[in-house]
Amino acid sequence: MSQKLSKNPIYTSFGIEEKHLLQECIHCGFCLPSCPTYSENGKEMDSPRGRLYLMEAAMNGEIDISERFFEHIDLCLVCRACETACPSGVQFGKLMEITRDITLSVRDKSAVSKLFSNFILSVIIPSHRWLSTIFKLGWLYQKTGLHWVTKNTFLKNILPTKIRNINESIPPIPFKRFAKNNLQTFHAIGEKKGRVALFTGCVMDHLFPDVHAATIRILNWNGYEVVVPSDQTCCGALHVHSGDGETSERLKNINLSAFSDISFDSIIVNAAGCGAQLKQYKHANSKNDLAYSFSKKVKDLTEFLATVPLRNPEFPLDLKVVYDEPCHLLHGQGISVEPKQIIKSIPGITLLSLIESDTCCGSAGSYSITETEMSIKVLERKMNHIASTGADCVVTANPGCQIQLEWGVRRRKLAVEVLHIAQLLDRAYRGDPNYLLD
Amino acid sequence: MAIDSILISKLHSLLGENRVITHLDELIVFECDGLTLHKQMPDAVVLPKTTEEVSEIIKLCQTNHTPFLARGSGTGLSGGAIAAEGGVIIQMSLMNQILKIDYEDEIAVVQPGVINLNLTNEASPDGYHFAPDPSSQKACSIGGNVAENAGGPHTLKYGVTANHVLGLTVVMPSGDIVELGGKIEEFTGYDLVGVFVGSEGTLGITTEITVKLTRNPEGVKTFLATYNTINDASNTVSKIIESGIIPAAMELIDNLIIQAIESHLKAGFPTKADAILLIEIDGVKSTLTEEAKRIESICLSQNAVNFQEAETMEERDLLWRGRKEAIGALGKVTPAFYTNDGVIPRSKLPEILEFDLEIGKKYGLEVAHICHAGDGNIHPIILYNPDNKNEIEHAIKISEAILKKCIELGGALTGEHGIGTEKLSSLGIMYSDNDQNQMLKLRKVFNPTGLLNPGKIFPEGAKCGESRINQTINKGGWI
Repeated sequence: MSQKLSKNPIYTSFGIEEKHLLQECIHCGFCLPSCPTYSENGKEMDSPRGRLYLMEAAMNGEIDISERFFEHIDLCLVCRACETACPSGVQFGKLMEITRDITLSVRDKSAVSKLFSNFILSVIIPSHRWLSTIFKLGWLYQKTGLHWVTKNTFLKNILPTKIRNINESIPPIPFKRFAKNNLQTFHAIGEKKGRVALFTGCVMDHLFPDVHAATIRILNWNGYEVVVPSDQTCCGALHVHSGDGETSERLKNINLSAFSDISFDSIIVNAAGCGAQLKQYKHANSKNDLAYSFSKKVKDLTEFLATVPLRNPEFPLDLKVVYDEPCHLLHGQGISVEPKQIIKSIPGITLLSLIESDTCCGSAGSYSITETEMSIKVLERKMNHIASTGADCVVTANPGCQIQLEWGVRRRKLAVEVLHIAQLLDRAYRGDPNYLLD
Repeated sequence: MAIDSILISKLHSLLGENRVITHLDELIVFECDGLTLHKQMPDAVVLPKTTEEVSEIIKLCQTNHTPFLARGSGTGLSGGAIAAEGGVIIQMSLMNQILKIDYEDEIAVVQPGVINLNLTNEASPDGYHFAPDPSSQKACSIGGNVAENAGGPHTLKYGVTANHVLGLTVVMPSGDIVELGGKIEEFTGYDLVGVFVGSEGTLGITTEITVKLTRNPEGVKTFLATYNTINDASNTVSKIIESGIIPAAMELIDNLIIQAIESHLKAGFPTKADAILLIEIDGVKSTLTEEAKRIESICLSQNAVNFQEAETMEERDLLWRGRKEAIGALGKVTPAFYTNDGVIPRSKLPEILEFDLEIGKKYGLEVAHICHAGDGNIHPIILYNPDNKNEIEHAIKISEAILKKCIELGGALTGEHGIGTEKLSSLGIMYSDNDQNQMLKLRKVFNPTGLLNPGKIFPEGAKCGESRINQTINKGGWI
């Protein structure tokens, strides 16, 4: 083996399993139009078929693992729209995760991205204490008006474009996260039909406590008692997408143990990205019974509500709504009908059709921070479609999408409200917005 | 061939560095299209956005004696979009705008990179569609459809791409920009649109296409007829056409393909059937009921064991999804397969299907079928193991024998995929040297230097290319 090849981890580590996964691609090109990055720049290397071809070429030692290779691997949003489009069932997301994981060690990353991967991913995100501190500082940053100053005065012009964009995309930060340090129980209203556990996650918990509150109220109203285990942590999806399999595995074990000694029927998730990841816990180690039974119980909120006789929303909402499908709900979990049915069940609502509602908004976990330029292009395309519908409200089911879409609305100064589907349904149940929050 | 660095720097100044690809680690993804049997890397790939840029690129290539060709989505199955002799690939994916839709005159003007189905999606709220519907229509480009004169299941009633193209803006191999045809169907002088459509990208590069839009039929009925023998199914096809009915589509699918579809897509095909026919009729609603009755009685008279109509739009869409994505589903039952698009006169359908199975048996490989039966486009699918060299050779031999048989039966080498690099060696079975020379003379009029898309269609033009193409067996493809 030449020295060059021995430094190519795809050549040295891809085995029979990876070869088989790659061989399922018959090069038909069906995935091309479904890919947001190919749609933007028209380059085969930035299409799913092209990326698989690059992986295969690297596996066969035909190309080097260079910065050029990583450029195309990194530019992938891992939205998995190509998996829905693929008639051959190629597991693109899985191949991308393997590729990012095994090449992580040879990457010649800048100091900034090393900081991101080593510190933010493995230290900050898994720790609620760290997250609370950082979000408190963020809250202060906004409360003192400093955020306004960096967004609206001459200061914004001195910031580098990338930092300026990230700064502008920061949503309003609440003072407190939702979950507490002890186990919480929220009782069913009326006849109790069952008991479910809520997965609180990281971003949703700290940035959108009102979505958790709405989720619990909806479940309570439908006769379900909700427990919120206190020791749970981030699902690890961000880590897997960035190639940090080690931390992801650690987080998985923390979550398995956090949910292990409580009895419940289902684990309810209201963040599409987390749901897709939690359902995959069992794949990583299929013999681990704990992981298997955990994953089997994981249900997206909309998926769960579709299996129960849904309490009728009583209060009509006079809204023209579009539903923008979160990639990891549609492509990652195959859930599309259920959320639309819930929206349609609300009296007064008109659900408009949205062009490319099955296409990514450009959020994609940490993508909007690492690949800001492409993320904005993808977002702009999305906002064009949303604006053309004349909708008053865009509904999503994932915190990353919610942040991104809210930013898109602010950028365009559109009179459009961005809501999580739980917030919409909760409103139709006429929930008191301050209930459960202190 | 190492490409001239002066040419590269000129391309850079024309398009900017971002739209010129020259690094080997990236060019490798352009080494094949939907046909992975033939591979050859280009020396550069460029992404123009305007007709003028295409013209400038071509002039630069001519000055530097560098071969060049256009590529759309790379879904073609005959190697038409590979740089058989190296050179520059002009990638049309950024020229993907629908420029105009005119419902009064029922036409649309599109750039070549527009995805086939996108045009239909755009026009469908107004009750129109673009009729050519190759199975790859979700991904293939209209420019590619023009080059290959693409067909599809609904070709039976609505015709191939050539029947739907009215006018073309073409950048000639000299760099000159010309307009062929126009906005109406009448041609003055020679029908150069007719010459251009289906010329497999060897006469010029189109940058604007005026196509006909077809009004959606008032009513559609889709039927699934089930048979215990493939022979009964193929006899039915002839009987229906003989009766004077022209269905919108009539597809024959055999058991092996049904198994694949049902294992993955679950479209609702009967897994125990030896073969099924997917028949669609469309038109004025009031006439459909009578036609449906006649079709049903013909199917039953030919021993169909079941005949049912898709009752809802969802059911119909699912059947068609099963049909159009069947090949993808095959990935679940075989590691690799090879398919061609030989054509036979409809009446010979039972004969060729029998021949295919026999020749398959002779070489010890399974041959499955998913035919555009109504127009005799047979699509034999040869299953093989890509790690077994013997099987690869046998797959190629089977395909060649089937093509030869198609010609013997009075058919043609290709119904819709084109000759490309794939069937170069078989062209001589169909056309004499005189025939081929006449076509080569025509090519020379348009493409005198031969630098536009060399190594395609004619074995003569491929002598130099043959030594460069790396032949491996195809992994699969769209039909």
